Formats: sequence, structure tokens, C-alpha cells
Amino acid sequence: MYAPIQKMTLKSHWGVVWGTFVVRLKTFSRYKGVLFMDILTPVLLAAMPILLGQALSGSISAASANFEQNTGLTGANYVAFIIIGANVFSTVTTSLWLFGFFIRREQTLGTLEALFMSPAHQISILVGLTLYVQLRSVITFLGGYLFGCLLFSINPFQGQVLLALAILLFGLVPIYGLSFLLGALVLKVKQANSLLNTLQWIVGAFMGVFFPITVLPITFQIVSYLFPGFWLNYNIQAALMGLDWFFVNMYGHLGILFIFAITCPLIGYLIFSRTESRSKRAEGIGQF
Amino acid sequence: MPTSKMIEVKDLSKHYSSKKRLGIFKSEKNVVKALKGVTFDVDQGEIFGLLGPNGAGKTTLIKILTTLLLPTSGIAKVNGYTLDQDKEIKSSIGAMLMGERGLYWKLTGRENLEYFGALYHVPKSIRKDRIKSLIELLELDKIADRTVETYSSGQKMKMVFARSLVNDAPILMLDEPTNTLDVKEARRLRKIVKEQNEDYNKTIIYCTHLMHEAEELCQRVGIIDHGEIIALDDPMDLKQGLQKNDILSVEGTIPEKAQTALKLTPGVMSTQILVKQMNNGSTEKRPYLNITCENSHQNLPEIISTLTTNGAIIRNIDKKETTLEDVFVNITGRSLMDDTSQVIKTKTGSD
Repeated sequence: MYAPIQKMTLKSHWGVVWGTFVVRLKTFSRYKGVLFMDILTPVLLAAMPILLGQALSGSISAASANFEQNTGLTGANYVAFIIIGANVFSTVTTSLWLFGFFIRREQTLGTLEALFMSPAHQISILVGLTLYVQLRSVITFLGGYLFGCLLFSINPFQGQVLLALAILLFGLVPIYGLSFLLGALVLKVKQANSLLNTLQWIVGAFMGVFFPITVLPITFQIVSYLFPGFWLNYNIQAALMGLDWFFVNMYGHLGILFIFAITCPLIGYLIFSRTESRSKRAEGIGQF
Repeated sequence: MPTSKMIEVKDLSKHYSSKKRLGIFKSEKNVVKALKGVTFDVDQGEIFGLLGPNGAGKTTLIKILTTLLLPTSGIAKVNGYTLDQDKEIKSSIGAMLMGERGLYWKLTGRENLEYFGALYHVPKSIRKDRIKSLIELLELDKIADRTVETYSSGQKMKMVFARSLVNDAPILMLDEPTNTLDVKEARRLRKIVKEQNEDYNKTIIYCTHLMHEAEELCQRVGIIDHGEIIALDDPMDLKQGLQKNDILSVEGTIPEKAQTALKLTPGVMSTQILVKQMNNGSTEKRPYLNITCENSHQNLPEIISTLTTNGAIIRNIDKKETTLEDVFVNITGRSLMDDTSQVIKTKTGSD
């Protein structure tokens, strides 16, 4: 006789979470050199504007003075500003495309239908996936930040590193929510690579990666305030560089991230579920 | 709740629609009727075959039953659960429907099975032993700890089959499970399918376009074509329905006019030009004339005479044993090896 149908318990849901986490980690570990590239990419991204600033101003200290004067960020070291910005940007974009790329990769591999055929709850799979990305984000952020600081002779421990890491982990939650929206987009239009590539640089501009958003026109600044990536980046810069908590205090800033952390995943998941339902009524979720 | 009818399908239809842009404001809507009012049921412990050519609607049907697709209309129940009870249905099924796809290539076969076991909520205490026995059953010992990217197509196929057994579900849905397997491995897989049914009382839906597989395994067969079940019965009964007539296979050069003249010959009921795969290991296919007639013993001289007087050169004539392929040919006029055009109805309009 066949086995009785397995009951879904909290333990078995945790089994799915842990299984997904381990599978992702094992897969990642079998692509040699990816971690190194993850760490190197934001440093290379930061190096270009840093060196351009140096070339335009004559020296890094002169570029820093110009940066302070033109942006109004008193005491801000522009090299540290850009290194932090590039690392947060890299982490945010990885997290933002996480679900979209996950859907795409699973579609092409043929495992998306296998996942959807299993009784595992999507949330359990997503939590496992998110845990993996959180771990990868912390490692690459720390690695990229320390390597960048070492390369450009910056003291990496000048600010509150642990607070910055806590903000990173917490601030990525709304980004995962937005990631559902892009997942829904991939499910709908299948091939969304060019759109995602363009969107990546728009995200960078509104996050204030290489410059504070105060240099943007006011309408663009408003758009930035509505994007959780900006708050994540600014809060980490504030924690590590001692920038002003311009919205009341630190808790005010974290409160805004908290609101995003609640609303973005809810809205994102709702839209994704609707798109998934439509796909099932149309041609199915596995088509690519 | 488990019922004696493990699968019930009533008037199930699935239409796919797509838009083709003809200009800025004009588009053409194509409607593909993949399933048209399909009705059948499968009893507990039965192997039910879905036999039909590529594009007939088999995979669409299986995708609906596994809740990957929602039907346009109609009702389906799996293990007593309606399609909106998708978690219960998914827990009741072990499925294999994307051929060799559906495995993580950077993981080993064993790791894949471990992960899918977790996804199906199989307790860790049971999972390890079950995976071990599946690996032994399918003789995957030598490759189980290698990453899937190093597997051949056949090995991947076997691992996907093992994946469908990892939750030891009461229902198995297998869509062309022997594709890419060599003859020996395909035979072995069919033996395991039979054992799953006989030893564990599993209900199995077995989709194939290979008639001998359906004949060997299935207690009942539904022949599906253009999204409709065109025949449904015990394979023996389906064949016996044809056995009052004889089927002759004529090889040689058969001009069009000989075939036309043959249709007017007394005793000849139908003729079709079909193609058969050669058994010499090549991909060569050879056409032959399939003749359904009454009492071939009596009518054969007349048939030969009609063919030769109309320019046919006959190399060989065989009287064939009736197969499910003949049943399909008799109903549709086509071979099971033919692809069915997906677009059944094209509706045009502009919006």
C-alpha cells in the first residue's frame, strides 16, 4: 500500500524553508568564483566615480572638500559615501531582481512547474530563498565594504558597523516585497531582461548611490523618498559615516523602513498571486 | 477524502488564446482549443492510459489535474478533491510531466530527491530510507552522488521518475515517461510502473503515444485526439471492435490512382497511406498502404489485381495483428506518430 498523505506541520514547513536555503547555498557554492565577483563588482563600480572625482579635483582630499561643499553633507567623506553606496546598490539590485530571476531561472530549468506541483507553500520556499539571499548579502556587503575601504585607505570601523548590518537585514525586507512585483512581471512578459537592466540604473539614481539625492530636482527627490532603497542606503550611510538622521531621529528613519517592510511584501505578494492565477488560467506558469 | 473514483473528469475544456499584432490598432485573436469537453474517470488501483499523438491534449489534461493549469470550463476531482483544493491534490500526486527537465543541475541526484522529499513534507526520518530504496530500485547507485549536469538524457529521465515516487503518493501521473530511454531501460521502467500499481495499489495515469506501452500496461485506455476522447475502453475490447475486419499492410510503390481505385473495390472499407519507422536503427521511415477490409482471404486476389492494374508495384503484403494504432487509424485516418496541429480554431477580430 502507498504511504499515507503527509500532514503539513510547522516542522515540515520549516523543512521546506531549510531545504530551500541549503539547496541555494549548495548551488551557489558549486559556481566557483561567484562570491569573489560579488565582492569585487561593487568595488569596481565605486572605483570609477572615485577616480573621476580625484581626476577632476586633483586629489581625493580636494574632491572630498568639493563634495562636502556642494552637497551640504558636513564631514562626509566622498570615498566612503560612494563605497557604501555602491555596496548597498549591489545588494539592493540583487535582492530586487531576486524573485524575477528566480522565476526565470526555474522556468528555463523546468523546475518551476515541479515546485508548483509540490504541496509546499510558496511562502516557505520564499522564506528559504530570502534567508539565503540575506546571508549572501551580509557576506558580500561586508566583503565589498572592507575591500573597498582597504583599497582606498578608509577606516571601515569609523561608524556603527553592527547597526549598519542590522539596517541592511531589516531594510532588505521591503526590497523583497518589490521583488515580487518584478517576479509577477517576469511571469507575465517572460523575457524582461532589457527592462530590468534599464530599471537597475534608475534605481541607482533614486537611491543616491554616487551622490546625495539633494542634488536632484525636487520631484525626483519625492520619488526617492517613496523608494525603500533610498532609505536603506541613507540609513546605512548615516550609521557608518555619522550623517544626520534628517527625519526626526534614527527611530524616525527606521519607522519609515518598517512601514515599507510591512506594505511592500503584502502588495507585492498580492499582485504576484493574482498574476500567478491569471497565468494558470492562460498558458501556465512554466512557459518561457 | 479518499474515494473509489480517484480521478473524475467531466466536460473539461481548455482554450488557449493569443493575440497577434497586425498593426497599431489591429490584432488577430487565435484560439486554440486544447481540450474539448473531455469526460472520463479512473478507479482506485487502475492504470489508465491516455493514448494520442503529440499535440492531442494529453499534457494539458495532466497539467490541469496537477493544478498547474486551470480549465476554461468543466469539473475535475482528484482523490475526491476539487481543483480549488490544490494543496490536497498536490499531496495526493506524484507526477512526471516535463521529460528529463525539472531537476537542479548543480545538485546531485540524491540532493534533488532530498529537496523534493522536503517539498512534499516527507518526514526526514522516512525520507532517507525511501530515497535509498528508490535509488536501488532504479539502479541509480552509480550516479546518485554525481551532479545532474553530468547525466545522460536517460539518466535524467530516470531520476525525474524517482522524483515522482519520492512522496509515495496514491496517484501517479506519468507523461511520456520512457522518452529518451533505451529499449531495455524503458522496459524496466514499465515493469516498475506495473509494480507500483500491483504491489502498492497506486492509481496511475500513463500518457503515451506508443501503443505497445498502453497495451502492455493499461487496464483501460482513453484515445485522445484534437482535444477529445475519441475512444475509451479496455485495450482488448477496443481491438476486438476492429477484429471483425482484417487489416492489410502493403509495401511498395502505390500510385494515387491505385489507392483511389482500391476504395471502390468490394470488401475494402478504408485505405490510408501511413509511415513506419524502420527497425534497422536508422531514422528512416517508409510509407505503406494500410487497408481495412472484410474477409481478406476472399478479397485479396481482387485487391492485388486492382492495385497492379493501376500501376502499383507490390513488394510485400502482410496481414496485421490488430493494435491500438489500428484503432486510432480507423477512427481518425491518421497515424499516432503524426503530430496534431495545435491550432484547431482561429477566430479573427480586431480591437
